[in-house]
Amino acid sequence: MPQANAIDIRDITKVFGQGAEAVHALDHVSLAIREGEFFTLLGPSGCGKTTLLRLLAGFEQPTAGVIGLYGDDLAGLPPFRRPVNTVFQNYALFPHMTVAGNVAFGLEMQRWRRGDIERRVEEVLSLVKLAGYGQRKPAQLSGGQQQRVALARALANRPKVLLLDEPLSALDLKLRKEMQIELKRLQVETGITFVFVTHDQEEALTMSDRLAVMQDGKVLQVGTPAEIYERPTRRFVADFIGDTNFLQGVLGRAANGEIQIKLDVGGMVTTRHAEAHTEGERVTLAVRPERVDLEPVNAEAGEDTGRLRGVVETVVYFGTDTSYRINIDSLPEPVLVRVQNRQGAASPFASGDSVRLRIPPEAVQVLVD
Amino acid sequence: MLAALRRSQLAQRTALLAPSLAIIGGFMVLPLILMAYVSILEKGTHGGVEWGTYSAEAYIKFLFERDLMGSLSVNADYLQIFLRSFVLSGVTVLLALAIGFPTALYIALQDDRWYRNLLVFMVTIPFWTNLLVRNYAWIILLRNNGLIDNAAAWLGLTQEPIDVLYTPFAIGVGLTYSFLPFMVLPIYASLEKLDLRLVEAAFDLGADRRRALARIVVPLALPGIIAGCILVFVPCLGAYVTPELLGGSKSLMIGNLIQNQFGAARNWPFGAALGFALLAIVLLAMMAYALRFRRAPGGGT
Amino acid sequence: MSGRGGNPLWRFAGVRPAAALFFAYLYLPIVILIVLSFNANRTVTIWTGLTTDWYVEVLSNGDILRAARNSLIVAFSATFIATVAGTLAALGMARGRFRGEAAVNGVMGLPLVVPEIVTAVATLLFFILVGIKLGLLTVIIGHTVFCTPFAYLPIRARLEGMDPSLREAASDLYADAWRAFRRVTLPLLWPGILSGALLAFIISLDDFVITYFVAGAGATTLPVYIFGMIRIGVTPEVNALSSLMLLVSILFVSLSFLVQRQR
Repeated sequence: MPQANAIDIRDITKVFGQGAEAVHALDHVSLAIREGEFFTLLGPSGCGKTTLLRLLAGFEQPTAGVIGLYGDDLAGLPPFRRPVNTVFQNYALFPHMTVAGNVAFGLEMQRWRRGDIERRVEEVLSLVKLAGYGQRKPAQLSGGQQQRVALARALANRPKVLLLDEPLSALDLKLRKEMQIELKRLQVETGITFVFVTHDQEEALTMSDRLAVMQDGKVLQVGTPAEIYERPTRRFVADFIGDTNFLQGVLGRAANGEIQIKLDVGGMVTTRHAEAHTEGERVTLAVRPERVDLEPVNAEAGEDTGRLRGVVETVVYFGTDTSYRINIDSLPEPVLVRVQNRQGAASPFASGDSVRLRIPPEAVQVLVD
Repeated sequence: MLAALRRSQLAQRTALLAPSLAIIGGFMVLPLILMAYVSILEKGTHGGVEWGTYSAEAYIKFLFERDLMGSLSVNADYLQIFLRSFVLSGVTVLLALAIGFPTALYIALQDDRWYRNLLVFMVTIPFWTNLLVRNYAWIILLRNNGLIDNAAAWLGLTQEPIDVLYTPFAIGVGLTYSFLPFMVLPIYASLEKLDLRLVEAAFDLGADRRRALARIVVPLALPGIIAGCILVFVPCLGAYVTPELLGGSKSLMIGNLIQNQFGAARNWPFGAALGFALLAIVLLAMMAYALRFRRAPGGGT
Repeated sequence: MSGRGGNPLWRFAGVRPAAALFFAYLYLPIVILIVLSFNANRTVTIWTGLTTDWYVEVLSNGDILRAARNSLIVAFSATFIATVAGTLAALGMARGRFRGEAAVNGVMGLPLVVPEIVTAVATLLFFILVGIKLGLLTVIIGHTVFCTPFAYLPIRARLEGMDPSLREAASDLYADAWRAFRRVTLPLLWPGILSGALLAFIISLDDFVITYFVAGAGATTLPVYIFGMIRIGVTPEVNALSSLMLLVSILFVSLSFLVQRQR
């Protein structure tokens, strides 16, 4: 059964300002967000993720392009006519109203009956575990509680899509972790499509069903967290999410489902995927530090495929794993290698040791750019 | 569609701003323009003005005197009044600065936020009370047989009446009293924004209190100090109430001179010219300040 | 630069005495005036005993009561018009930046910048030349002009301090422009409006110079009346009336201050 798209964003461009001062906040962005999924827009500040969210909410109108909500064109529709609701970054709770007043506001605006409103407010407040807090003012609540009120206020309207603009950024680390779990629970329980904006890659990986990585007003890659982490297609994506080593090389011949790549630093590695490229092309490779193994150098071993020689520069102990920076001749930056400490704390290698890096084919990701 | 949206926003904004702009534009800007126009009209024989008859007489009168034969000779009377106004205003600014700066510093250094706000509030209160009444209080204090006179005589400090009321000195005291809060508030505002770690850095680098004050605090509070000086100087220059109540007939200021042209002297063009000159001086001072400090980096107020 | 007052490192010489002198200078004359207004002796500076006779006399003087009535009529009218206009203007200025913003700001601030005597003269000339008869109406118009910025500024400050996402939140929760204004903006703005109105009211009540010029016969306000009394001399009646004026002003500023600080 094909999943319905909750949101279809087609070729959206948003320009702020005019003439020489014009800023392209969004540049021909297209995205499809499926019904019921937890979808994240991830990117550094200024990448356009919040602008995109504001276009969905209706606070801004796109310069060009179409936004569809379940097939309906949202063009020109003001925010108060859109069946979507927003959880604001700073919560934007009305300070002159009680918690219940805040939660009831949207329902009152939609002219619900008083009794229904009261029932719904209670229901939603207990959903976010704030039953009994209805008569308090927002200023009397902690940051985490205010966050829950903001969620309740938006969810009370049963929006077709819930938009969340960096809702956890104001919370401290511990509370943030709690709210991440809480948000995920609410999303599963209500079945509402969540569109979540964040600059925190860890938050994006742990919470999302799918995410889009954005930079400079463009969507670079869309996929599940595993796809984005394991198979980044762009240098920016690989670099922004987790640690990555970049190596340059020339694509060689394919054989037995593996493609050889001749590295600029000398030596060969192989990979399984290089569909976007042809033989003889210069490519950039992304290699995650934890996918590389370290071996001691023994005299008879030669320079065979998938192995590089280097010298340990620094060793940093992290508890669960140990991180090595390995200098390789003619490579300007050392290669980062992370090895799990299965044998306990003692590192087999010390600074100044000669080592060999083993880079298996599944660790090598050929980037598009 | 976007253009239509922008048009309707413009229409809304215009509608919202219209009443205020009409009030101030119609009953302030227009009268000021009219005043400038009246200043170049011929004086009417029995007061008022001769419409359509232009004359530079009002501006000539400022420096020259016309005798019965119609020939001009220099007359420094009015110039002297302007000069007195400037000197008195300048002295007032210095007095206010001397008392106002330490006061602002004292308030800014208070630990207790509540106490600090209370002090600031106490600085502002007099501004909102009646200027006449506040100057009247000084008549009680300064007049012969007044509180100060009696106290001085009782202490044996004086044998004769002190005779300070109706002198420029009394005007200085009254002006300082009237506009002192205008000095403290802007200085306090810039001191409050000052990062005190900068002063600690100065201490750390070997500056004693006096030099930390002179080299760090004062330069960084300069926009506030200048603002305070202008805010005191401008209303002093145009003061009417204080010289009227505390000054004598021999210590007129510009304000009294202007009023006089619409009262006893019945010379509207001259009064309008004086008003226009005062307005020009004030606006120039304001503009100079705006250009120097609003744009300069780190010089926000 | 707040705090550190308790730290001896920060004790700058002479600051504390100067502050003491400042507050004494500012408040002693006012306090003395109020104390003397209760002095039973007609020669004011010779204390002979407590009395409230002068207040009774002032409050039963027909001329004073008429002047007070004029003052109140003017203050209420000017405050009402200025507050409505100032509120609208603040709302108009809050909708993002626009060309001509600086000019509008300049015009709104003009009554605060132009010396009162100049405004008074210009307004007087204007009324005479346009042919509006001097009286209560001209006083109300004159007062409305300088009350407008006093009403406008606290409202504008309040609007500026208001989180713009609150209005967006209202609009996101299905409130159209009017209902977002009525349910969110206006209630949050209300302390600013009230505070602005209170300030406009005292400024109008206390104004002398402009009133003195544009008030015709029969439009004498309290300050104009007091001016007439002061010209004659120092009397206990002036002391009592002046003290009343001071107390009303202080009461209103305090109210305005309290209201403005409210969330």
